Amino acid sequence: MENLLTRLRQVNPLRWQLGLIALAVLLPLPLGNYYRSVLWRTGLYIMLGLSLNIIVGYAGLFQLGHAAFYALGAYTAALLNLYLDVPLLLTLPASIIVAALFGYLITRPILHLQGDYLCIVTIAFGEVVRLVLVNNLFGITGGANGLSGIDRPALFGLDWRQPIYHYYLMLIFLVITIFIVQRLEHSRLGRAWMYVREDEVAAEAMGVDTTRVKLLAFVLGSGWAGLVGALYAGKITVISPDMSKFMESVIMFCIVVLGGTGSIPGIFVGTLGMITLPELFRPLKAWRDAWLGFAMVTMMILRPEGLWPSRRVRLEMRGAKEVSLPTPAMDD
Amino acid sequence: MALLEIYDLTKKFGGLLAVDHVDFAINQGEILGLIGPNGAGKTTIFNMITGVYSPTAGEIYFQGERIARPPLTWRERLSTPSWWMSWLPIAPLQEKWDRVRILPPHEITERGIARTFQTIHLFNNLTVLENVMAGPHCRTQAGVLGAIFHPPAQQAEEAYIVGEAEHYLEFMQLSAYRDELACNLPYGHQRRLEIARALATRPSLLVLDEPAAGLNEQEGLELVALIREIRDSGITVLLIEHDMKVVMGICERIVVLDYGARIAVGTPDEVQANPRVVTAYLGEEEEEV
Repeated sequence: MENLLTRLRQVNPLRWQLGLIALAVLLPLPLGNYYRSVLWRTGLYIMLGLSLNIIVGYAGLFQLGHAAFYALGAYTAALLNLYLDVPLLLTLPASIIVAALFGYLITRPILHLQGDYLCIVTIAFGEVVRLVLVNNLFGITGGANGLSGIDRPALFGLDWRQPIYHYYLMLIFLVITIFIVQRLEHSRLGRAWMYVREDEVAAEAMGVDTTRVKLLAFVLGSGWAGLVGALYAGKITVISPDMSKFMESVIMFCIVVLGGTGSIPGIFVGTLGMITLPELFRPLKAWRDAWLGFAMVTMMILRPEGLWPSRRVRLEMRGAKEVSLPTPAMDD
Repeated sequence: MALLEIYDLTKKFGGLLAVDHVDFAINQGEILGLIGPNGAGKTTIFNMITGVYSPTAGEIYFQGERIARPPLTWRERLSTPSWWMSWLPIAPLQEKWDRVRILPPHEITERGIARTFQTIHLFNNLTVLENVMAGPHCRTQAGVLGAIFHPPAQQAEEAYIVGEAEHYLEFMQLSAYRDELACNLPYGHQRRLEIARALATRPSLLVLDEPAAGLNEQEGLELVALIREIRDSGITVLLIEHDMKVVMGICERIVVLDYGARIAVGTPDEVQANPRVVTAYLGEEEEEV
């Protein structure tokens, strides 16, 4: 396994990236509509995982209310579409902006909180959003039934009732997401997140504006979750306050933590375990929560860094002495 | 004009008077030692200079601008017009507020004061190079869009950051460990790495908090040579230190603290001859029975 991985790393990255994209394009073709929808859903949660990963993985902050931003994005798209007749694809920027704005407003006053306190506030925010939606805010959010009759995207005159087109739309955004997230990770901002995660005191002393950097993580992560919410609304056409329920946030959090905090392939693995497998084994639905609990407990005992962790997070969790980088030749 | 001026600096923690009306100044290009027995308030002064604490009373000026002052009470804030208007993106108004508000640590670093820590605070699981790359962070500005689209300005900036980091690794003789994880370095090297990281912020004043703590004799001597070299490159050094040999060897002037108050200032020889300093360090001579 190790050998295979090292050999894969030596292949030109562009080649296997294009290979993976080609695979993703061809994968749904031989499958039926149900499985295409499962693939679509998987992709959606990968995007949610990646957006949450900016907050949890890169900046090292707690966020257990991520589903709230997903719901906010969906409701923004739905409201614009239903009341103002804006075509769904044009509502996407608005969804991003609204979710990002709420991300900013909510986290700005609580950023100085650490660990568990931050966690509690984010849970509370998720619940607030759900309850506000249930209570039919301004009489436009449709209460507990949510909103229905949202237009599907209209593009190229295709029949958008077919899941396959939604899958390809999702795929385009997924590729964009991975590209952006990857670039962010290896940038000045990505390093600043790393510094904050590693040692906030030292980061601040080195001139990193920790408040700003953490806020940016929240704003970017929330905004992107808003986009995913709008994509969801465009396929399902019915949305309800359940999108913001606590269990959704927990699932997103588990995707990141079980898959491997801070790692992009880890998010794929996590989504496979948390979304795709339970979906494929629908007959065993009653066992789903038990499976989640079992997976969590086993993972936390055996592999706290996740299934496919980023190198750094593994170091942080396991102690660096164990896994060391190759030593450079020393002169003395 | 002095580079850093400290006026009447006082810090109380509850009922404890940690720093008691201390005045001193650091001149451009000197190495100033700040010494005193345990609990004399050295690190508290240090934390006020770097913005971690705000003083209870007194002020600190750096390059002629105030960088520390007691926090405004809410009543004072509400009666300050520039506080009400500070959120407006109007430069003169913000400058006015800048003169009143308290600077957070990262802005003090940006203005040119870099620090090291008494207990080492490295980014342990990052490589040596990545650690030093934190330094130029406050001298660069690429944001989200720069990260995503890689415009030429951002690429040039990344090259600048790596170049700077490598330069300071070379300067601190750590180049051989470039890709090693910081936590795997020997202790003495970790100390040096912290100094390299601080230098990479391009400070005009470098504040070292007990840099010789835990170093052996040989490493201590190397450190003294390095500090001299840093000073010769045009950076003023404030040294907080326990190790008398280090302090007496390199400091041009020394400020001695005891129980939070300044008890002596002068050259190493003057300070050593000062009876109050001797008493503070060795205790009162007891009458023989």
